[in-house]
Amino acid sequence: MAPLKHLEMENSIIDACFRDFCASHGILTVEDFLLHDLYELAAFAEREANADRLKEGITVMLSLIEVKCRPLLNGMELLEDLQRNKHTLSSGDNGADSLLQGGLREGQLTELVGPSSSGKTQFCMQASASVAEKQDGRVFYIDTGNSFCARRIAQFICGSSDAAALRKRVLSRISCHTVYDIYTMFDTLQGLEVALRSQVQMNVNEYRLRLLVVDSISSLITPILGGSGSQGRALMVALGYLLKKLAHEHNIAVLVTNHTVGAGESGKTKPALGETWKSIPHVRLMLSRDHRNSNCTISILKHTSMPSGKTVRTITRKDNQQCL
Amino acid sequence: METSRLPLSSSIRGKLISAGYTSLSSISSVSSTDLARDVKITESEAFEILKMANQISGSSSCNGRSSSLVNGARNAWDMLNEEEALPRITTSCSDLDKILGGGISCRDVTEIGGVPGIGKTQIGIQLSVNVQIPREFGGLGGKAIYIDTEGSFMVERALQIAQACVEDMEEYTGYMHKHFKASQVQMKPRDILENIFYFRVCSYTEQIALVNHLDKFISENKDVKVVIVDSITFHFRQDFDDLAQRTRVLSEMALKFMKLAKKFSLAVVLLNQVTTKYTEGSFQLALALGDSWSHSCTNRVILYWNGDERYAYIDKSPSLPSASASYTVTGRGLRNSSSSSKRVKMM
Amino acid sequence: MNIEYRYEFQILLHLEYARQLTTGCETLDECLRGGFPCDSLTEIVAESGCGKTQLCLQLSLCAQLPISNGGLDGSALYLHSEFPFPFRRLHQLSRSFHLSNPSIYADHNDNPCDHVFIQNVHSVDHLFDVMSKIESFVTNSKTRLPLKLIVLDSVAALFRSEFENTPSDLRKRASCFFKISGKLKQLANKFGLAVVITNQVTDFVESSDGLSGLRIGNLRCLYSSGRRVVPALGLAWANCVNSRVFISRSDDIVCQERRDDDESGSSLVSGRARRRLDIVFSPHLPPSSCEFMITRDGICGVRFFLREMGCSKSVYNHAINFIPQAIAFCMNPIHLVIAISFVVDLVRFSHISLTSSNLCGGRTRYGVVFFPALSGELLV
Repeated sequence: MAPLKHLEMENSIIDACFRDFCASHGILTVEDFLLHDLYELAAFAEREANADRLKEGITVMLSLIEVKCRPLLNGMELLEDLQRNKHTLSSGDNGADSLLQGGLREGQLTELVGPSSSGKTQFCMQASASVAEKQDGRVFYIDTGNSFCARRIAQFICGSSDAAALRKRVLSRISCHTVYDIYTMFDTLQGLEVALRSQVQMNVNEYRLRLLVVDSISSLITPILGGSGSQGRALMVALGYLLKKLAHEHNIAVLVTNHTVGAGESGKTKPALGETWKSIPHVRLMLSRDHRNSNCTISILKHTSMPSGKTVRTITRKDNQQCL
Repeated sequence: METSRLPLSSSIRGKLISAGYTSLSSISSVSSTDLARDVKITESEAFEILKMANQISGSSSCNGRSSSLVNGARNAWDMLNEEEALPRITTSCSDLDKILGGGISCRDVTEIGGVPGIGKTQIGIQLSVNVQIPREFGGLGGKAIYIDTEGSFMVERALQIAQACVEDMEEYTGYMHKHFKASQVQMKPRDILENIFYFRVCSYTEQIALVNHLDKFISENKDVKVVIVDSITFHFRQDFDDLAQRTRVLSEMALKFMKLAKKFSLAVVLLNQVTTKYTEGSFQLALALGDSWSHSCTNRVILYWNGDERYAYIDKSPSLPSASASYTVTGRGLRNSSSSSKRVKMM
Repeated sequence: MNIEYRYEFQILLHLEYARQLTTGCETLDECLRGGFPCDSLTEIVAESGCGKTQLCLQLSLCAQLPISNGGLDGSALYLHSEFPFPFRRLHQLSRSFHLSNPSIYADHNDNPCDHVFIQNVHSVDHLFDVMSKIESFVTNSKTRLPLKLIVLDSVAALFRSEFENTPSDLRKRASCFFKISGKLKQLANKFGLAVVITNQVTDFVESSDGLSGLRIGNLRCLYSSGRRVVPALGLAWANCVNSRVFISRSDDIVCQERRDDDESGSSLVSGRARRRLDIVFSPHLPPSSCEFMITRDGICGVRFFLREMGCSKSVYNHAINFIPQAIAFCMNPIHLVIAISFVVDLVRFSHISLTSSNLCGGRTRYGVVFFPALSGELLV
């Protein structure tokens, strides 16, 4: 947190004696200022020699802080923002789109849960191909398990004519980053945030980032959960909030995948990462695959605007669609 | 956290972080004189820091459209070209190769599991021999690392398979030179055996230590192209007081293998056992080590008996469709099975 | 924690290390391509009375043979969990072993039984206890021959009563298997031991999930004494051993003897049941099988080579014609029995019909010999 003397440059009222007064009450940074009881501080200021100046200093501090914090939005503004900025992206699969009433929503964090080889990575790659091709958006794919396969994405792109050039165009909008641990993940996301912010300033977005995929988030978090200490859970929550912030501020749809674990003696499976993570994503979808006829079923576990439990049969495994 | 990424001396970095400058954005928003005053460094040092910070954050935004957003990300188009150029290790059974898309892919972690006696060790030995097939015969010309946790590796068997491989190569040269006579090949079976680096581990601590050591070993032996672990589960099925600890250890090991595969462009083949899992009220067959392990590998192949034939089934793969093919284990190694009807079954 | 590990990636060295322990019987050795391998766990699965213990006793003695004769030049540790231990049989075998190999013991004036160390184990915990002491036993013992063979007879008896059928108990049982196997393999690797473990069978019961009939290895079904059986301890234990061989017995008695004349001597029924060894799975052996019998002097194989060699029909025919003369030269009932079983197998596996002229040549000094088993096989 920035120390108080930082503010002296622009606001001469925050001079040395104001700072000394604050220091005598243990306030050295803006954070301390916020945490302190301001009425008590004002009462103490009364008793000082230069009471007026000090009280003016406190007021200036408060107004500075107000300026810095986020503006309040009312409902109409939110609705406008939703309609103007937060579009729905088709996930490339008609069944899923109809289930989700349009597809993946920008500004929301969607989670895909499923046991191993149920089709989560396929869904992610299909969504990336669809966004890059049909919605002219860029895709940022964070891969934690070497499962990103450019060849498979190329198979999902079905163009009519001029196939090779189309493929090149579409594929160049998808960038893939390999991340193996959570600290690198934080670095990557913060770098992404900086890049996005500067992009907004420069208005360079011919193809702006529309989809962020993390496959899979559970392999980043499971190694740090458990054991001694609760840093694991804190990091998980921080990661979730960072993803949601990115989604909201820059109008990106975020798609993450999670795996399932067995639940006790009954043998039923439940999503990994526990109870704390449950409340973080906006939308949770459960994938399951019937091995006999290779049909995948998607059902809604949690959605902000739809009841849970609806299922749709989708036929995936569109294998060897040779669009070469 | 990002400040730690800057290439600075640790004392300056410590001063920055303790003064509150943990992210690059906080550094870039302040002027050099302020920074110098705050952190108690000279102005020139502060200027250097700012330049570095701006470089790192700015370089990713000032490029053109086709670049990556963040350092280190790669374009899918470049990756496509790379992927198509990746070599694959043949399994000597053409049906199996077909469903694997040409063979075991390098730069991937493949898990192969099955009941005892189905041929997992045979596949392991076959792959460690086949990776050494020289480039002029369509192979990789590399070496193999074989980590044996169970003691199933039999040298006589490896010698047998190596001899068969050399004989096949000799026949092939005869065919290529169109005189249909087998001619001498440079490689000899003993050379093939020498190029297999064999490690025997007898406890899980040894296994973890060895995996940690592999990075250094492979950097010194750059022509290793396949790492085979037979089997990955044996030492982990003993009593582990804390199952969560076992999961953590296993996922770290899986991570190391993935990094190895990616860094050195080699194939990692992990052989796994089969166990009965109690799900939904009944016992079912599943690969050992639990649910969380099943997410740690890129590809999974399951071997099973169908009647009197051995079959392999692609259970998990990002790019291959589910299919099964049959194979046999002969005195010369892995080969196609002789039944001609519908050997490759697509799902 | 300082872990000392050695990286022995000179596998060519293993070519010299890879030893095998002979079984004392040529047929079995041929089937096993030399015998039971060292640095490996081999499991013998059989129902009771098939000869597992006989084979193990014979192995403990063969371990003392010099390496040039296929032995390991070492002593054996016999861990037995079933009571009683066949001491008398061991002495019997040891006596004939001593007679046939006097040179090993001449210089030191001891006998084979001195090099077989017997320890009983009565529970799983006891076994862990014993195993923890083996290492110091090997390194500190002052015996003449170093320990080279460990026999565990049988592992199934240890688990018979301690564990119930609930999933958690089964999990605990499985982790015990891996612990035992891991420790034994570690010892085998460190000291170059051969480890032989025997296991029992249970009757095959069809279960709803189909897992009891799960095929493991080269044989689709295991039959012994005319009924279908399944090795005990399940899939988890099958994952713990390197190789598995299955010994079975069939109920058909090889031959019956009748006397033409009316002597009141007892009709000798040479009821030596046929015993068969199958390779279920092994990393270095192709699927094969052989037959043997248990005699007073130990295990004795029935020659079986023609099937494996895949000889042509003409050779079979030639051999068939040879048989009558062969039988006529039999000197005692044992040889007769062996020769007859050979003919039976020859017929069975070569699918050649025997004409009566071939058959009736079997007229020897012991009277006309009947081939009860053959009549069934001729229809094949």
